[in-house]
Amino acid sequence: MKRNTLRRRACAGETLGEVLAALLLAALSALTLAGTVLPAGRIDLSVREADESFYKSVSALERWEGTGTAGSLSVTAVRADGTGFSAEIPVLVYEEGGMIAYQKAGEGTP
Amino acid sequence: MRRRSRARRGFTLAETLVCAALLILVSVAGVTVTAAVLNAKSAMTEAANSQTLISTALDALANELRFGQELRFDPDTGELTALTSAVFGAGTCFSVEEGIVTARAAGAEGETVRRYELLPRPLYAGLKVTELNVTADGDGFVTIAVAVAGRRDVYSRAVTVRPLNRG
Repeated sequence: MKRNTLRRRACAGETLGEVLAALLLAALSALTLAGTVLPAGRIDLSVREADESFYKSVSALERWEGTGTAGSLSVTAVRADGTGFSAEIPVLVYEEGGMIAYQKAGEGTP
Repeated sequence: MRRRSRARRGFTLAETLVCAALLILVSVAGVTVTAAVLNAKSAMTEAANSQTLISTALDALANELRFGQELRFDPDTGELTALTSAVFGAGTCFSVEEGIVTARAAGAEGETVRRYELLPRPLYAGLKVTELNVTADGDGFVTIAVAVAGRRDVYSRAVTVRPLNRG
């Protein structure tokens, strides 16, 4: 009797529920695949924008564009024998895109 | 008895057509998604490789200009003609040869005595440098512009450098 039931079930094919579940799994797999690529594309785009912004900032700093704010740099040099000196150097500070450049105040070159 | 006969009857034409339509839909969707994913991956890889190539080229050239000596520019176009490089020596000029950024050091008579490739070959990863412009403006700043061509797109970037040994 049990053998007979098994044979009948094997001949019956898949039920609608099984087919729908298989389709759902296939759709989920495709969505997962696409879901891994979309964030990667977004990251790639943001990195490209950051790279472009970085070179723009570097170019602006190299040119000392904008108005530099007055500041000073403390420089301390210590020799091996313990002697040394320290100095305060007046500078103009330029900031762009989270980066900083200095120009020695009163001079055209750093 | 009735159930067994239905089970042995096979599928109706409508069932077969619906099944075939579903299979086609699923297959088309699968192929479309896979193709789109592969396409996106290829585009992203190319963009990332080109970005690495351009950044490395710009950094290498910026260092050459920043620390190079005896920079000479064409008085009409402002283009760099030669400089004395700490790495490549006197009379160095940069150009693009078959998509590769090349540094050539010239002898006293102007003849090329050494040829170098500025960047390692694996960095190109199938990309070609199509444009390299090193131009000085009137204020003494030098702008380096690099363009790279891949299979899908052309990528470009420029940076301005302040040579420390202007003379």
